[in-house]
Amino acid sequence: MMHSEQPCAQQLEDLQKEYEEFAYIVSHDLKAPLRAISNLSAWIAEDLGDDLSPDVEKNIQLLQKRADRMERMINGLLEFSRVPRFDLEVREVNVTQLVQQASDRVRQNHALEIHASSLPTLTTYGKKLETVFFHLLQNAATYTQHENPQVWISATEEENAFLFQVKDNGMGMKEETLDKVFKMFYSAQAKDQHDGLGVGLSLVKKIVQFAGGTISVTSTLGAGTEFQFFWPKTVQ
Amino acid sequence: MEEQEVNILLVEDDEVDIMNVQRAFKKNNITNPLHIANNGLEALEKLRSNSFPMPPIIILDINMPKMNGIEFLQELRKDPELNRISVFVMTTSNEDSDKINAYNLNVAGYILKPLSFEKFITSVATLNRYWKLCERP
Repeated sequence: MMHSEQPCAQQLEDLQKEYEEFAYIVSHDLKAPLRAISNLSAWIAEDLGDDLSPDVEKNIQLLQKRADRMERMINGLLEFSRVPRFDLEVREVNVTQLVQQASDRVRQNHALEIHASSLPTLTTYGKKLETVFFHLLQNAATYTQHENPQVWISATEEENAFLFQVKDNGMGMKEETLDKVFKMFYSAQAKDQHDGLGVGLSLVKKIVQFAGGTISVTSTLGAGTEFQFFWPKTVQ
Repeated sequence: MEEQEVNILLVEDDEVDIMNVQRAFKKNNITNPLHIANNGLEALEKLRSNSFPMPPIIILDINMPKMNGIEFLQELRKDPELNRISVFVMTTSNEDSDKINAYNLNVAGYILKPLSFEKFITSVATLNRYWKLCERP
């Protein structure tokens, strides 16, 4: 049977809507029992007072840390589901200033030197583009053992889009992990070695796709990682 | 003149969230009488049967079975006997649409349920300062 283009587009839109609703409901309804777990464990510790043995205390701390982690994961899921619905304001954006704002936020917790050159000004989703830079810079600042972590940001003008390049001198990744880095909750490092949740890059990909662009990554283990993304010049 | 403590009606269906409020009251040395209703219908029944001194201050959860928080607020604002009662909404929902719905129904405040109990205690302490003002003759 032949399908015309119209119903197919409609189907896709319905499916997308259903998916977003699902993510929203799951994230909200999962938070209630999680809050209960977190509260109850705090109260158990509080009520035991001096009777709390070091073993139990340690286990309760671990329990609460995991509950906190799960809350942050749920918040990540929520943020992911909100990409098509939030921060839709379109304005004239000076990307140099935008990168400055994003790097100020990253540098509150990390050391990072940023070299930005020939960045454009365009009319686009300002907040979304800032979020993309924030997570890419955050990523560069987190996954590094370099004594002087640095990032180089540049842009090339193409016909319909700007090609942004964000390159770091971090620890880099193995070839086989590259296609997984954009997956939700994926992290190339062991979970107890860092606070990363594996949310940032999947959010970045979702935002870039929402804006009508594409993103790719190349990396050399021990030398650094480079993200390249196309960001359309105009908002459709 | 003897100070009359204002009664508080907590409309909430989750047992642990009720305990949360009770413990936060205790931590803040809040001694105001606390009454519980598990949903909007039960709350309206309690308010209309004068089972405690009127008017109370209401702390309201949004997501509840039977009659949810927004539906309860709509009923409350329609009732000439009850429509002036101060209501604080307490919920996990950070959605703008829920906030707008609540503010359209004239609520005094919107408290996000945080994961940490410590943060919740701070919120309740703020509430306490507000209803101390309400108690002034």
